[in-house]
Amino acid sequence: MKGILKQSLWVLCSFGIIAATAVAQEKEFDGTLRIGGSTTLLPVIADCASQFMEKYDTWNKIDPSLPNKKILVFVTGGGSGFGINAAINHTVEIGMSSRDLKAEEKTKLGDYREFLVSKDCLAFAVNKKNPLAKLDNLTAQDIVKIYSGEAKNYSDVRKDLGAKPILVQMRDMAGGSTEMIKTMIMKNANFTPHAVQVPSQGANLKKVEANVSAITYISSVIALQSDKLKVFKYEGTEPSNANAVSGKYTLTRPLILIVKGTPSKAAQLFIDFVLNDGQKIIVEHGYVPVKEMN
Amino acid sequence: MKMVFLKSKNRFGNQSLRDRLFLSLSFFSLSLGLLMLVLTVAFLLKETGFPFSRVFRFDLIFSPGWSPLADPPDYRLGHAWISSFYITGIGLLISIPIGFGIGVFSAELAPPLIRKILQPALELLAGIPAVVYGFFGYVTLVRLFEHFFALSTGETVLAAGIILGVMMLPFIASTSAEAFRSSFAIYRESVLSLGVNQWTLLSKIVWVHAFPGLLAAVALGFARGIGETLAVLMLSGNSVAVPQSILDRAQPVTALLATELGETMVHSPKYQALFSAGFILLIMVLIVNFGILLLKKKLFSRFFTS
Repeated sequence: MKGILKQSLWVLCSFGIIAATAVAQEKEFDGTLRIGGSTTLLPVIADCASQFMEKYDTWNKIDPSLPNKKILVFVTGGGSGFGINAAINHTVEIGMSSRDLKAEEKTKLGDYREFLVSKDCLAFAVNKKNPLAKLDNLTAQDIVKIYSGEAKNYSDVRKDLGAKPILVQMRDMAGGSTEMIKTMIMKNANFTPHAVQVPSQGANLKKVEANVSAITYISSVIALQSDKLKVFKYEGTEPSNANAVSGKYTLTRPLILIVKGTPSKAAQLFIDFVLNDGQKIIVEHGYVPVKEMN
Repeated sequence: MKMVFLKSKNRFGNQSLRDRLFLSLSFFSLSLGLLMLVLTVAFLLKETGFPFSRVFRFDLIFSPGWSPLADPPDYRLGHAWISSFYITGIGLLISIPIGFGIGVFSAELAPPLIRKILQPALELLAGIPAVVYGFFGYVTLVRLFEHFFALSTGETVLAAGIILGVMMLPFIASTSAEAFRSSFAIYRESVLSLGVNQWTLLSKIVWVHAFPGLLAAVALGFARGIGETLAVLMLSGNSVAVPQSILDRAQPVTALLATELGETMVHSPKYQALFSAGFILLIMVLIVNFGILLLKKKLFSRFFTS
């Protein structure tokens, strides 16, 4: 609860700050760092920001060449498109995006740095008592059959699985992960209207853990942590962190920070923080870390 | 309203400046409240894309077909309205008989001690947050249904309807109690002195007089039920298919709005479709509430004069 309050406070503050910066830009470094963009990354980076501020307090404590000013990191949402555009016209110093940059965005950015901080990786999972748990691998074809509603019972997927009805579970149709499944697997097929839509990652996990007929797609990191779930290979590849980072497992999207030009010292320090201490926070939120942790 | 204002001004005409200041301040607050309502309605209407709004296209608003990710996307909201009325209907079926029962009991039959406990208990029931009801239903009814009906999931129209019925109960019970109480007060002595028993008094005379009040109770319950969001979101299953039976999943309008609006692009067709649903919901609840006021005033006075 406290975390949510804190986060929304930062988000609220940042709107005001962004408005203010439009007027007074490119002045002397005043101790604030502005970040904005993808709502997927927002909670993660907001957490990183509050830990960063707690840990160091003032900038000169990290690097003596920086002024003795209080660290203020403002994180705001707005979506990936907004984040990239805001980085282009310097409304924010660091833009957050949960997709790769488009060609036109790259030309607009000109000279820029892109930091891959994490990957969002989806896996299909069922309760260990689900008939489907006998299988090890699901193909794109299986998924389309299940999620379009063409397969009503588990026996429609594989003959020997028994006639138990499939309870198709999905994130809401506005969420980023649903969009991933739609564009990467479903393509022209539509989701069955009988699917149960869950509005949050947590509810998604609890429901599939509790229900033996349900199948869902969920963050691979969260799914692999649960001992009640059977997590499937997709097209023969395990949804492990290593496979996600290497790109061998395809149901992923990059979570990136973008800086136009060369990052300022302050921005670079924060990005380094996200790439080191921040990786733990990333795992807590259910995303794949890009660096192995001990 | 102007008349009332003038009248009060006269009444306070000779009073001190402080009184007049207080009067104008309270009048200001009243207008602020009313203005807020008008602005809310106007804002919702604007966001629906008025005047090229979907609000006046019944085929778009009330026929099923919601499929926002299809190509081309389909934003017809019928499934949500059907679900809303289905769930609210079940809630009313459950809460009306029980609510009226409680109403009669607390108005006439209950001993004073129990009456003293009953009223605060009902108020307490009305004050429980929706999320608590939703969670309670989720750990009890949903599990129970899965077990007894061998369903793949217990999140059903029925589960949502039952919990919604419990949530509407305090409103229906206390409003109907009020109606019964005033009706009993008028007829009790004279009718009982004729040797008529209590049941006849209730079934032949009292309920007729209480009828507008009872209707208001039902309307209040309906307004409460159709606008309820969190509990039905947690219990209805949130599936966009039109529910075929009471053991099927559904997605009422309020749940649809809560699920989709957060990440919808502003002023996109989907955004306008969702806002049109919200607009109609608001108008519906407003009409019902004005209806309650009229019912209470008009019908009561008719019964008194005739």
